[in-house]
Amino acid sequence: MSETVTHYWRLNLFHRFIHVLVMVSFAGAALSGMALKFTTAAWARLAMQLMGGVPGAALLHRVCAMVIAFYGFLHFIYIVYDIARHKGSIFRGSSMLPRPQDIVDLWQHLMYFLGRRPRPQFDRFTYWEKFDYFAVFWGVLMIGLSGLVLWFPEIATQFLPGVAINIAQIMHSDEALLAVGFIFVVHMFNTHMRAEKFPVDMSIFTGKVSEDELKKEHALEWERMQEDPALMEEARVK
Amino acid sequence: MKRPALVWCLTIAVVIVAAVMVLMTRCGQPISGRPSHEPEFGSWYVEVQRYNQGVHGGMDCSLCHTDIDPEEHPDSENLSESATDLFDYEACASCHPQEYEHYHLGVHAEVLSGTVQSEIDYPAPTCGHCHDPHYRQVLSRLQVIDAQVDICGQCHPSELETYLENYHGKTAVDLDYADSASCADCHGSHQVVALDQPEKAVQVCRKCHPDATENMVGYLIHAEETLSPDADASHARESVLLFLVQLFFVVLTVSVLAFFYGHTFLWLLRGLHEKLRRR
Repeated sequence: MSETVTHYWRLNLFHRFIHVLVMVSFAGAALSGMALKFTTAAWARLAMQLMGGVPGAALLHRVCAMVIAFYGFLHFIYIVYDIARHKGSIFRGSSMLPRPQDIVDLWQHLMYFLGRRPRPQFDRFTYWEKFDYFAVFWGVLMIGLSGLVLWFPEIATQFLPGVAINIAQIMHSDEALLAVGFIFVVHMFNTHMRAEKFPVDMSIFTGKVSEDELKKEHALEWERMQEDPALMEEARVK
Repeated sequence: MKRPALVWCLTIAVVIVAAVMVLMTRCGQPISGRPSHEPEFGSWYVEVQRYNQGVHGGMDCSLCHTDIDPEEHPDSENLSESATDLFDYEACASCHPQEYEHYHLGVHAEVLSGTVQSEIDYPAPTCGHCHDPHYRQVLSRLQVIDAQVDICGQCHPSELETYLENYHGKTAVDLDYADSASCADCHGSHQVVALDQPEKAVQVCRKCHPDATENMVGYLIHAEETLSPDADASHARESVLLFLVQLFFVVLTVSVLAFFYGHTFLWLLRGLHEKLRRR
């Protein structure tokens, strides 16, 4: 990389660490889970054998589930810390929280795809990044809670009717298929496969983005940094 | 960054993901070649060589066929009927008294005697309908599970279908996991019971799940997600509930994926368009 290109921090070490946990645990849980969902397919039986049969796959699935619960807990602590650090203001422009502008951005982006208008300008987090984030949030809650019912049916049915296990099976399995269909296609494409990023966007592992990329992809954040030299200095990679 | 290597890695990754997705769409087509355990119902013909290799091999015919005089060949007036149906299975009791007694306590015997009405068109099975008397081999646990799927499923097809969709059936039958529960593990083999009484059903669950609660019996192993209440009248409300839950998640999954796949596809086209125009 050229010395003259300035880079800026986009993701801190905690963000990147959590993402590695998400990535690894999702891959393990998805492989072992899908192999059980599609048992009549040849690839599922092969995958099951490679994971050490039903007991091996079950162990892998539950270890991944515990990793997911662990990062969910860490993330919860981080949210509390983040709110405290920004003195309660989580509605700032660089926030991950959805706001009405995201709907406008989505509409304008679609119009841009169709060639009707120029590319809209995005803030620190774009609407699709926010959707990815809340999809994991929703997924971990739905799949996690239904997964607990399936893991401990004896305990769950102490305060739930038996049909709750049937409902948990439908929830767990359908939501997992949605997650797999979303992550391996939509998320992969949006981050790595589109023309500007192909073949790979390394920022989730390095935490850095180049000045060019920041200006193009997150123009509103760049403008905010221009107005606040302290923010700029803090974000610049030395 | 070494771009060519990355391009290769990503291309291979994409091909693998695409292949997995294509394979997934082929799911639901069972792999052929699973051995069939259909007994040869009704036949009067006995292959002596195979008979001698079976568990009863070497036993004299008249030990079981007590009503047949070896000196005199029986007349052939019954040959148009099923030998399996005609045989008097009381003969089995002389060596298998416990199984014979248990059978008479089960629901199949009750249907035969008329004390219980059955909705199934077939006559209730007796010994020979499940156990091939002439050629029966000693079977492994997994072979017994496969045999149950074939034999029980002939008269109980919807129970078979729902069992195979349940995790017990998926693991036992599709994944050859012998620790999982089969038909007879819950419903009994000789003393076959319907398990429609919760207090009996909970005892069965506790064989593998010692802490099973009374509520856990409400879990439907043979769950049908259908709006038609006559599919399984005893669980009509649960069936409708499960249908609605399933519908909600299918609509959610399909709409989210359809929207974002379209979004991604348009983005791909726009990106390529701009990249090519710049050249």
